[in-house]
Amino acid sequence: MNLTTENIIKMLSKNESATKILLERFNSLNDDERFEVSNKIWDLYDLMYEGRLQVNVQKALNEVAANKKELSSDFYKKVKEETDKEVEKEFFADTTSADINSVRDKISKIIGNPAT
Amino acid sequence: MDPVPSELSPEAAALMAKEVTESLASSSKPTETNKTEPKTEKKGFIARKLEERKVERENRDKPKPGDKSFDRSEFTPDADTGIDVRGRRRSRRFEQTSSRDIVISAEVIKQHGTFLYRHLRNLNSALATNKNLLNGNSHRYERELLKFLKDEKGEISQAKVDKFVETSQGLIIAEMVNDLRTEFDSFAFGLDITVAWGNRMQALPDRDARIINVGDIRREYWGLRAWFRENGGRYPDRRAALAGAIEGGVIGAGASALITSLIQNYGEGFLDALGHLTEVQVAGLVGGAGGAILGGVLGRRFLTNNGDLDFVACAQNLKAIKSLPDNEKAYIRSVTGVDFDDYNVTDGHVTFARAPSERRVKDIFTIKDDIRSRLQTRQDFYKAIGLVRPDTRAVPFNPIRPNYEYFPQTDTLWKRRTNELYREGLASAGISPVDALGVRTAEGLRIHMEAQQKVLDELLDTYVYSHGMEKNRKTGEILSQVDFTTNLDSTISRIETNEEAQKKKLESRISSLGDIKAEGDNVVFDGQSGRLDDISRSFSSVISKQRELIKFELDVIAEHSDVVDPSGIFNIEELQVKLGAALSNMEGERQRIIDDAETKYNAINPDDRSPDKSMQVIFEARDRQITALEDKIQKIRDAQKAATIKITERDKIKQEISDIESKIIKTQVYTLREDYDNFLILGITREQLANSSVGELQNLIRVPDGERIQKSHLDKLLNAMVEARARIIMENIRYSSSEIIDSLGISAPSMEEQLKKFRSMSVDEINRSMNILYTTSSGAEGWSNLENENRTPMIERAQQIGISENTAREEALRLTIEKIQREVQSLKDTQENISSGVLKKQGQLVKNASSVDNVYPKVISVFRDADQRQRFFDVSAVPGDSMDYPTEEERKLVSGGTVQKPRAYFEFLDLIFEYKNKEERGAQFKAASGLVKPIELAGILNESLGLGIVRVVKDRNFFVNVINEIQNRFNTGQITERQMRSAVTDIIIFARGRLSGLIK
Repeated sequence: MNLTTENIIKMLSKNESATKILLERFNSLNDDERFEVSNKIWDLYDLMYEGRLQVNVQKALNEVAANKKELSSDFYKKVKEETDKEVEKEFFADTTSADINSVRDKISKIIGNPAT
Repeated sequence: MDPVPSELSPEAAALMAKEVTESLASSSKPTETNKTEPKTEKKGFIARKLEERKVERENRDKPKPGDKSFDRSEFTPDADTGIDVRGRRRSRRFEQTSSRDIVISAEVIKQHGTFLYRHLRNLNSALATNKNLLNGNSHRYERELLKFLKDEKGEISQAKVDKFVETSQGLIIAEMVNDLRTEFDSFAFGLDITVAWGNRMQALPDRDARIINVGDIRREYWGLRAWFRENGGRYPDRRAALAGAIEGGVIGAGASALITSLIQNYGEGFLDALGHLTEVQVAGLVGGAGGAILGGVLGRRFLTNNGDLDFVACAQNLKAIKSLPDNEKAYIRSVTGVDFDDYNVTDGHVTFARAPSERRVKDIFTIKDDIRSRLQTRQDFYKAIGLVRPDTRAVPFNPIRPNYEYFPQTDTLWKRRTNELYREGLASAGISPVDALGVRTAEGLRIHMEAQQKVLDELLDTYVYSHGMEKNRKTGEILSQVDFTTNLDSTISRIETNEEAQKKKLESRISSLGDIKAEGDNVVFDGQSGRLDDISRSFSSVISKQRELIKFELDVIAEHSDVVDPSGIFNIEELQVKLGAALSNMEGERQRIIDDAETKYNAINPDDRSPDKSMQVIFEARDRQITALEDKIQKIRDAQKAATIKITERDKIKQEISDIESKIIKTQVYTLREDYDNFLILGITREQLANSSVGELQNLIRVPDGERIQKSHLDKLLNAMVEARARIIMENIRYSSSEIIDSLGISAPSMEEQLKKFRSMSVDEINRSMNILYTTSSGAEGWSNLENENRTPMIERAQQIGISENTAREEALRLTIEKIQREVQSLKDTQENISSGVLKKQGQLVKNASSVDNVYPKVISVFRDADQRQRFFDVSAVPGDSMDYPTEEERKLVSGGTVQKPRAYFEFLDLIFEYKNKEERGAQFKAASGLVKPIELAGILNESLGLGIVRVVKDRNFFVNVINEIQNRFNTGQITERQMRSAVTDIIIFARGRLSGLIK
């Protein structure tokens, strides 16, 4: 899935009806408002992503220390790809972790719809 | 439940926690304490009372209507929640209040709102009479506050202020301004008591020659009881005050009463500038002065503390504060009512400079009340954020009154930031923290004030951006989102619909600025007559004559090094003296040879004389010696004659210099100075004159009829700008020629030798050394960046630095002309952009980039890919015939200007604006490069990614340094692709600002 603002909104919505409401609101914004809101959404997404990545890098390094993984030249690239997959997968799961939930709440607030 | 996963990074966790806390706070409601019905069993009186007290206590801690919840991390760095591992609240009160959520009462918010409202209202009224009061960077945050906290009528809106202080940034800003005000007021108290004490004792206290403890004042009081009685009848008010204090029956009354008495006899104010006094202590003194019994009671507490009055510090710091620019003093006078020009320092004593009736507009008793009420507000605020340590009651730490032993316990985020900036400021100015509070107080004070202002600016920035507002990064002007959008839209539509009017306006601006062109090596400024050009020529002429003079003297001295030792000879007169001495020695030598021959001849026994032979031998030898000596003597005589002629020639050069200098000083320099002074009177600061463009200054300065400054005044403005820059440059020329020689580590027996050695240094060696020594107005421009310099002028320049005023003016003139040249060019560019439709193209580019999905995913993917990202780190210069950048416009940029145009610049532009794939690639490139110039791109990346690369003026390597640093950090994992994404956001915001006219 391509990473776009709309997709982030879709990923982080709790259900279809919330997705619909949020996207409607998002699409009704004028260009400048949309620029502002998009940036805030991307910032939040990045924040959560960086947190995940940090954890995954640490885990991977632990595995290297335990000789379960090799420290290759594309070590970080691989960890990032794994993190991408992990985040994407979790977006579509029924139960999500607290960090994603908090991003969901925040995005709802940014776009102007209270979290349900 | 802790909503933050434990494996998140601390920063992410903190932010997440904040988000979640906010969302919870918005949905949660205060719970009722206990809804279960109380049992109806009958309780005894004591049990009922205990129950009532428990309920009362619980209710007291509950949020009241209007109270606001905040996350404590917005105020303090402390992580303690105040709860122990078993979930119990700790018993000590300050630990209880250390919870994650803090509640600030409606009353504290209201008090801060009232304070800030009054402060801004004062400023607003003061601005009505002095419209330049808030000019300069130091008042940026106040200008911004005034802009968005005013109502439609232009008055400060209490409702808006109240809303503002409901935010953490608003509260902190109000609290910091409160502190600043209290610092000034408390310092005024200190000065008053210093005057009073000095007058009473006719000398500074002996102990440590500078410090007196308030306990000593008390003892002094007991020794002076008779004196009080004798003087009592003359001052009924004082008698009443004494009575009040003495009736207190406690020892502390002594201090208060003495102070009261001193003030009423010798001064009008009293204590205290003491940074470490608690508000209770200040209140004690204040109360005592009013004759209240409370004064005595509280005064006792005061005496149990370390109440040292530092008289010398008071005097030193008064000097520092009086040296502030007039505008700053006017500002302090307006907002605090204290006029520090009321005081003087004479022989280390602080004295009143004016008669009582002419002193400050606000009396000391009102200031006292202000201090007291503000300290109480302050204490309530600190209590609310969980800092209830005794120290928080103190008068805020006061950099204008040094106290080396005072370390405030008010550990807040803004205090840490202020300290951080203060330390950085001191380090970059090369001042030790001790000196900043001692021998270099004035600089320390300035740096501390700048740090405070910067923190206030940062807080306000945070507020602005987090409330959906936009800001002009250059002027600090704040616009709401609506304003910004309107501005952006209207800029484009205005240009589209009214191109002709715009063109005319620009033409008129350009014409008023005049035209600047290059004539040979000289820059000629046509528009404002040839006067500036004349000044430039005169300065150049003096400099060149001075160089000629020095070279001439050095050559004459060097020419005669075969007859006299040139060591220690610095001018031709000294050479003459040495030649004279050599001549005299040689005359003596001549006589000695004659005498020796005579003696030798006489010593031969006449019987043994073989006259012909002996005479021939002795006298032939004598004559040979004399002939040789006379050759030397003739040489010296010739040298003397030559030197005399040279002196005449030298004096002629000197006279020429003197004539030109006198002409410059009488006419041009005098005019520069006069015009400069006139603009200062108008309230424009030296820094504004030096750093602003003509256009900005025109906007800033309004002539009395309210019109913009007219063409006829422009020459005066230009003079003032030149003088302002010259003064800044002169300040930064830190070394005299001999100091430079010393500092370069050149050791030789004489100046001549030193200069010879200096000449033998390689260009690189000299440049390296001079770079260290030479700074300009911007602080770091290196010697090697000075144009048209080579080794010989450098040597002469080293000599001339002691007489460098004219050099500084010449350079200032060059800077000013260059600045105006750039301004005119920028206006012409805008004109050109309108005509050629570039502006419309820019609008489309910015619009596309603002649809972030066109840009962000691409940024992340290309920076993640090691191969793809390389092109953004490519700092090799693009060749003029490059096929990678084949359009005329791209090639033109490559060949134009002096700054390198590395490939990375083109690639960043394409990444954000996608110009390469569009039709009319060249025109699109021109539009994109007009939105963000190379140096601006580097500046944004530097700031956004926190690289901390310092850019010096004319730093041609800045772009390259920034890109190299990004590459290094990227490759070591210190910068991520997501941070690059965020930096790209800043570039887009910048382009939006440029297009909408917010950024020039």
